[in-house]
Amino acid sequence: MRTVCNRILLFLAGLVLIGGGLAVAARGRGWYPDLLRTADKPFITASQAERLTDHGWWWWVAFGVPGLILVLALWWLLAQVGRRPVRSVRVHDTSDHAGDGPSGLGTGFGMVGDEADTLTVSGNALADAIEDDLAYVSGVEHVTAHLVRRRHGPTLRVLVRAEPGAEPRELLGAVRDRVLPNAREAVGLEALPTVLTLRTSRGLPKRHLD
Amino acid sequence: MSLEASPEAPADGSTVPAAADDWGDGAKVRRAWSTRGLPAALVALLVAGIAGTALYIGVTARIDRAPRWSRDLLERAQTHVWRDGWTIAAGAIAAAVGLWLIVLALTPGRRSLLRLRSPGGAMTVYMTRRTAASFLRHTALASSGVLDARVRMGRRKAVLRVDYHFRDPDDLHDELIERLEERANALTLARVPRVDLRLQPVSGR
Repeated sequence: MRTVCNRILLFLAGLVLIGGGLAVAARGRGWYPDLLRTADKPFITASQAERLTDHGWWWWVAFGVPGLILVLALWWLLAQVGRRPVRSVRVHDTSDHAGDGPSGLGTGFGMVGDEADTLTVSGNALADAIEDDLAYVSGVEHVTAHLVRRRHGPTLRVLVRAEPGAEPRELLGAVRDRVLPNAREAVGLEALPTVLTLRTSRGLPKRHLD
Repeated sequence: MSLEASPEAPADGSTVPAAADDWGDGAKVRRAWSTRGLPAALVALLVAGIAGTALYIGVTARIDRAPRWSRDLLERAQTHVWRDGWTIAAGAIAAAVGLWLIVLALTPGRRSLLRLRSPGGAMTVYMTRRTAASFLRHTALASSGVLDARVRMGRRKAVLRVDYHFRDPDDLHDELIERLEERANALTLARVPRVDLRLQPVSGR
């Protein structure tokens, strides 16, 4: 979503800059005088300034348009810094005793109703657990994992630093068959979309002639 | 819709889970699309700055407390004519920046990421070019007689410059090509890179 919005807005900004820039340059050169007016006038002529200050509505435009643009631009700017982590994942009790109040999940300290059968797991804790699990996959040197919030639920983002001799097929197979099912089962998620990026350390040094 | 490569939809119970070796084929995968967060932030900051300045000038002029610089600016705008080298230069620069923004908006970016075939299970996997190069270099260095290998990894082709000694070059070439192509296949890249091998003998110190 953010990708699409950013690209549309960048495209529009690019169009405005191209159109405006070319028009300014053309008027500076004196091209198309009937379309762009003559190049031998100042940017704001005295009559224009007079006309503007004569009208009462001019001040509303002078405040309103830049104000509106300012607010929208700040909104766009702030949308870029959001990290959107998953704060918590709710785990429901699906055992036979679900609904009986305090459940085996360790909740129920005075809680009643729905809350008593629900446990919340912090997103960081889950990501850390996945990291630890991944670190034992053969060929993996170092892992960083984050859970980010997406429209379809939590998404896992993983950065794996692999050994230069690792077999990607085996590594990814282990992640798919062991690590991710473990994580999904632990918190009862039906799907956990994962974006994984492989990196390596520097690898073997050059051999010397000696 | 997100332009970002979306992971394959999880099997909705009707399809059996994919067999262990049944990985997605390379034909369908798309490139990674960048969010373009930095250009967007810069443009937003610039627009906010200009709009804020205009608002400030408007408000201070309305209450007759316009600072000197804003009065100077308006004065200049009323005396400066369009026909000027700086005006033309500014317009040309703005048009060039605009063109660049359009290029940024329409291209995927993230050129360093190579997409891998999806192992299934709603996984999307990438590998940096440097990583693929490192894997191939590691394989090249495992052959005897190889002293060093420098890899330039492209999207379609990997160029390896290999320094060797005490080997028959044809023999080494055949061995390396076979191993490197096997390794390139084993990386499960969506587009298997061609291996371009260049051997360079190293004699003595």
